[in-house]
This record gives sequence, C-alpha cells and structure tokens, in this order.
Amino acid sequence: MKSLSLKLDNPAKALRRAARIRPRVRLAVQIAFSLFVLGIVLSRQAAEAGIVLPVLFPDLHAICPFGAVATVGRLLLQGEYIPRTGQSNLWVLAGSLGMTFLVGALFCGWLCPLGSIQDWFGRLGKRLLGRRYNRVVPARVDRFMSYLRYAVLALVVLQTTRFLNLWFTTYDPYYAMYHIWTGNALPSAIAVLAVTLVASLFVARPWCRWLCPFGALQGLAARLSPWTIRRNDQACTSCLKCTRACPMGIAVDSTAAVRDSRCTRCMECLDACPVDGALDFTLRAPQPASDKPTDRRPATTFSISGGLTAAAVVLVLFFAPVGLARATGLYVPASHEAEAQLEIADIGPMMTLEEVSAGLGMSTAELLALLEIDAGFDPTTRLVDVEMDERYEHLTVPQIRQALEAPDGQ
Amino acid sequence: MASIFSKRTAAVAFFVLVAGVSAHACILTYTLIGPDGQIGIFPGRSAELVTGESYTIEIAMREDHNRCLIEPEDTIFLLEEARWRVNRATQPLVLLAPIEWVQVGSREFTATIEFRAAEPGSWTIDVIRECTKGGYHEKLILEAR
Repeated sequence: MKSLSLKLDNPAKALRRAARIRPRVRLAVQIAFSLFVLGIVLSRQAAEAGIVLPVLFPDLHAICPFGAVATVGRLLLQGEYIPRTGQSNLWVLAGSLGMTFLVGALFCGWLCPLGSIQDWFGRLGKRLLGRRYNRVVPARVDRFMSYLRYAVLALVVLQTTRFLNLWFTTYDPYYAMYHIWTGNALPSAIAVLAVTLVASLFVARPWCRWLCPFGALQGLAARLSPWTIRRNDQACTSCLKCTRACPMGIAVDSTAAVRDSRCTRCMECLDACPVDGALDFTLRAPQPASDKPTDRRPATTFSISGGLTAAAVVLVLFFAPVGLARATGLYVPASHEAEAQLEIADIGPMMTLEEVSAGLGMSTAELLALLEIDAGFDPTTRLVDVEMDERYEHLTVPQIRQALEAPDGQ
Repeated sequence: MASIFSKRTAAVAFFVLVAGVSAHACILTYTLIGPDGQIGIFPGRSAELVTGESYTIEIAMREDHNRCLIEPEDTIFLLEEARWRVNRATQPLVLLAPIEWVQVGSREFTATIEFRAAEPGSWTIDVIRECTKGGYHEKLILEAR
C-alpha cells in the first residue's frame, strides 16, 4: 500500500473532500472519546454503589497516560503497581507516546477530553469575540508562557516520584472535569478547570498551550515524529490562511515541516488551505496536486490527513497496546481479577470472611467451622477485624492462612 | 485588552505553579526518629533499628481529594499482617502507646507512633486506608539488628 489517503480518482478531489469531512470526523471522535471516558467514571461510581461492570479500565486514572508516571516510579522503587490504576495506564502511556513518536500529538488534538472541551468553549468564544478571538495574548508572551508546560511537567514528575502517588490530582482540571458532580474533586482542581474554561473563551486551548504537563511530554516526543504537517513551497501561495487558522499560533506558512512542540495535529491549517497539495499530513513532503489526469502524482507521501484515516490511526494506535495486552493476557483489568479463583496466598487482611469463602468455593459456614469461629459470627467481617473479638485474638491473617492450608482445611 | 488579559493569565499561571511548589504531598509521609535523632524513612525502603531501642514514627497525612470517607483514626496499621496493638507481647515491634491523630489543617493530620524493637529481624508494617475512592496502602520495612 503506497498511500493511506482516501483512494479517489483524483488526488485534488480527495484533498478537498478530506478538508470537508475532517472537522466533522474530528468532532465526532472527540465527542465519542469524551463519552467513553465519562463511561469509565460512571462505571467506577457504579462499582462504588456495588455494581461491578466488566470494564477494560477500572478507573479514570487507569486511562490517564500521565498517571503512568506514578506507576513507573512506584514500579522502579517498590516493584508494585498503584492499586487504583493497576498496569493499565502503562499500556495507555505506551499507546499515546508510541502514537506521538509516529504521528505527533494526535492524542491532544483528537482524543483528549480536556482539549475537546476547550475547543468547544473556543467555538463559543469565536462567536462572542469574532476576529479578536485567540488574538488577545501577544505572540511573545504566548511563546514565553508555552515554556511553563515544561516547568509543570518537571514539578509533576518530581512530586509524583517523590511521593509515589497521584499528586497532580489536587490541581488536575481533567480529574476535576469528570468528578465535579461527585464532590471528589478538590476546590483547587475545580478552580484550575474554571480558569481554563473561562480563558478558553478568549484563547484557544489555554491549558494545552501553557500548562499541560502531558502536552509538554507529547510535544517533545512529537518533534521526532516522521509524520507531520508538511508544506509544499512550490504550491504554497503564502496567503497566510494556515497560520491564521492555527489555534496554537504556529507560523505554518514559514516552515517546510511543522516541528513546533505545540502542534496538536488538529489539521485546521489543512482545512483552511485553499491550494490543493500545498499542505498535507504526510511522511514525505507533498507534491502539488492537479485536476488534470495527466498530472497525477504518484501517491508516495503516505498521507494520513483524511478525516477517517486520521480517526482510524488515532484510535488504533491509542487502543492497540492495551487491547493487545488484554488479548494476550499480559494485562488483566482490576474488575476481572476478582473473577479468578482465590489462592490461599492471596488472601488479604481487608477481605471479608464471605469473600474468602466465595473465592475458595466453600460456604461461609464451612469456612467458619474451619477457623473454629462461632457459626453466628458476622460473615461480612473483614479478616483484619476478626482478631478484634477477644475470643479470636489469635486469629490474625497469617493464622487464618495457616488454618486454611492445613490438610484437613482443604 | 490584550495586555491586561496576558497579565491576568500570567498571574493565574504563576499562582498555580507557586501553589504547586509550596503544597505538601497528598496522603502520608513518614519520619522515623531514633535515639540518635532522625532516620529517613520512605514507603518501600527499609530502615535499620537496634534491638532493644525505642523509636518514634511521625506521620503527616494530607487528603488529596474532597469528601474523604475515612477518618484518620480508621487508618489500619498491621505488623506482619496482625493489628499493631499496644503492648502486644507477641509482636516483634512493641507498640508503646495508642496511635493518636491530631488535625493540624483543613485536610492535614499528624500522628505519632512510639514503639520498641523487641526482636531482631525484618518486619513489615502495612498502613491501610480502605475506601471506595481508591484508598491507600503502603509498606514500611524495618530491619531490627
């Protein structure tokens, strides 16, 4: 396959069609992914209410690639995963960073729900401010503030690895956005979210361009991506429409290939470009396209600028690692772990007598008899609380395991 | 308008950064104090004790989310998977006084654990706060020689 672009008879028509449908496809992907993340949060809340759903990701943190920083830190220092996330965010990090190394920050432009909601507030801002939208911050100030992302990144990495916890939750607007109705989000995170959304009415994606630590990480990786927005100098008429359209203020018109770490691959520059073949999202530099059948250029640029192509690329690359890990058994979501048969060595202090008996495939009465506990004892008691009863002060968790491992206990 | 907005935005960004730098960590941090002064202690790393000596662990806790469901007093301390209880003679690290929590800020608490290293060996203390919002579980490993 020489090209990933839509196969139509005429490349110029294909580019025009792509420019027409791309924004709609991107919007659809953004909405779908935002709802997907909402589904994860709601399934978590259902679990809190006792309804356990078989989900791929057990928690919002588990789909947060940035939570993987904490997971990596803890794995290196303690050899353990963070209970809230398991290993899923490592796979998600692998997917998003792998994607970024290949095609740039498509995650930011096409998937990130916080980026999406800023886009939607930006649409409102455009209606309110008209041409003044996204021009209220001087370019020099904007450029300077974009470096704050690296400071935030350094701070988050430092604090997260130092305390081995999801430290950023305290200020994370992404977490606040999906927990604002639960009361879990701290006022500090809600304040950051509120400031971000209000600022989005004036400036495109203020969080992404100035503060997002994951965006900083993505931006660094994106500098290496072989697929990028490329400009064909021969076809370009220097109309500046691409530069004006760029929400991040990147001077697309003066570069052969966009290497700016702020680029989110939203492709609004492509949508705005009036010349077919002047701009494309390709592996190799594009050639000018033509309506003349005799001028057809060989499709060797490996363009992924088509809306459906880009959507397929972003979704496949994001979900492929975690999906493959799940399919091969390398990754088991936390909600599925409970389904496995319980081993005596895995009996933990916070399990109830009822859970242990169910996990071992015996009745509660049988378990109580094995442990020589009164038959009327509350089976919902946690193992760690059994010893709080004076009669069973000796029944600590190791003693319970030992009793269950005894030959007559099997 | 442009300059005013940029100053405001810069101020907000600066505030967020400064607040981040000055904030304490969420959840729990531990400091082990021995007869000769402070010994650093961190979850997952071991700290050395001298058998027969008495020690103190100072704990600082900060809630990292709203509506915490677990009172500080409900934090569970397990020594070798058994509840760490006062003067439990069968335990290798003997707890000398009940663990009491003090609120020092709106979301900040401290506690002090006083204990004596009674037996040589490698002993694990599990600190558990179980709740439906993710909870907390850390291991403190103490090596008594």
